[in-house]
Amino acid sequence: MASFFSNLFNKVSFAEQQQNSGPVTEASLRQWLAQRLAKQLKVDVAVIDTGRTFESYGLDSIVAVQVAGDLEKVLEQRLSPALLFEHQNIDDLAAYLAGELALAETKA
Amino acid sequence: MPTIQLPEQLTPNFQDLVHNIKALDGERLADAIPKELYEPRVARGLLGFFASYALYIGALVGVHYAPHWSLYLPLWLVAGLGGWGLFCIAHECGHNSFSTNRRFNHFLGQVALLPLLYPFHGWRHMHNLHHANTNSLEMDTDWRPVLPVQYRAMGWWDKLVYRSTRSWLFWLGTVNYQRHSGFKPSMLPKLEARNEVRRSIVVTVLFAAVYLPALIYLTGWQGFLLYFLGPWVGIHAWFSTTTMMHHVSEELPFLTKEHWTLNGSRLMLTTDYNYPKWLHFFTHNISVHTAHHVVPVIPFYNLPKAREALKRAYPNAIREKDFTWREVWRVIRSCHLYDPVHGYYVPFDAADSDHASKGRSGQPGISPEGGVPHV
Repeated sequence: MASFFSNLFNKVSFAEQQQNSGPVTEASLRQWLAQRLAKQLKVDVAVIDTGRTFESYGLDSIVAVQVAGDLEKVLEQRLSPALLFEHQNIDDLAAYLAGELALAETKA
Repeated sequence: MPTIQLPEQLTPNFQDLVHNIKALDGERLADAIPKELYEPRVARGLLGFFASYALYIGALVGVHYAPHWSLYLPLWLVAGLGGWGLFCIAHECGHNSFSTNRRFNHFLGQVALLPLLYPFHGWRHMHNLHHANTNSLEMDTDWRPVLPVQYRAMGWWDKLVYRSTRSWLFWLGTVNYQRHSGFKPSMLPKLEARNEVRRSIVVTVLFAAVYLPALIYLTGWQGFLLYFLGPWVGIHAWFSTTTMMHHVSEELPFLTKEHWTLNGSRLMLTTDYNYPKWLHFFTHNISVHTAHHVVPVIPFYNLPKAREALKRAYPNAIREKDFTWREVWRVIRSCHLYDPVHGYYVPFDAADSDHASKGRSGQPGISPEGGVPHV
């Protein structure tokens, strides 16, 4: 009975389902960022150079903030909206985030 | 390596503040507060809950029997105080300091937020982000200022909202915060938190769908204005004024991450305000704010003692002032935009001057949503 109401509540509130995408690593973050950038630029992910600066891809501040917002949901933690300004390219950013995640795990 | 360096100049005042903040690194601030002050007394909490609901409902009854319309405004402010007190009880519930029963806390918290039609979990999760990032220029969710370059880049509506609620409409600053935190689950990084917000929205909408039509059926559109909207604005007036004064001051800057620390944000970047005793009772010591930021789980009736303990352990660290309208005036007159040069505030006039625009064009960095005033 309780689970019936719980399910009903989830349906009525349009609850999101957990996506099982495996552990977050530096490589998976690099891949996610490349795909996100490719989607934004409407190009194939294969042409994204992870060492090329965000600026040179012509990302404006609104998109940068949107990407940071999407990334928050992947990592399930609050991030600086200025992230794509603080790190020059996908490689730098993925390395930084992987380092932060490792730090968070050590603290936990 | 971060590409953004703010502020551009490190004034002696700013350096002193950062030095004092960094001196707290490694300190266990909570250890200064005796453990017995962590214990909730549910009966004392319920006294606060019922006192605030009684004030809220009593003021609505007062509006009903008011012999003249000129009494409406003061009575809405009394109802606002009742509703703001209820918000402060919900705040206790959100931090689970009301009782040791989490389910009960969440239930009571939602009941306390009904006069505002505020989804409890939305507020709760957004508020937790505020506690984890108080006065962080990048990450805080409450009353975070924007840079002049960001302000200039805003659309006309965001600009109007930002400008008015940081000046003459400061008393409505939290309306937009309610909209974002209560009704936009996408603001939150955690999936479970987003789903909790969605459930709270359902509860709030169901209540509103029964309460508001019933109120209008029984009392007409005039009743909606007198018994719901007027008090609702009254609650926001208390909510906005109180939280703005806790977190906006020309002496306390928002800090970028190379200067910001968690301990510093807890102990040194908020302001406590002293009220008359009766007002502390009806606002449930919300303005004994630093001790609350140091250990959010301390129940409201223990905060004055917790503050004394902190003052003994860290003399001169807590910023404590008497509440005056002069203080409010200082904030709304000049604390408008983040000053990229000195790290404090500049007034709106500076947004168009050379001085303010020297900084970061091309490096906006902070989201447009940051331009909207929060708690």
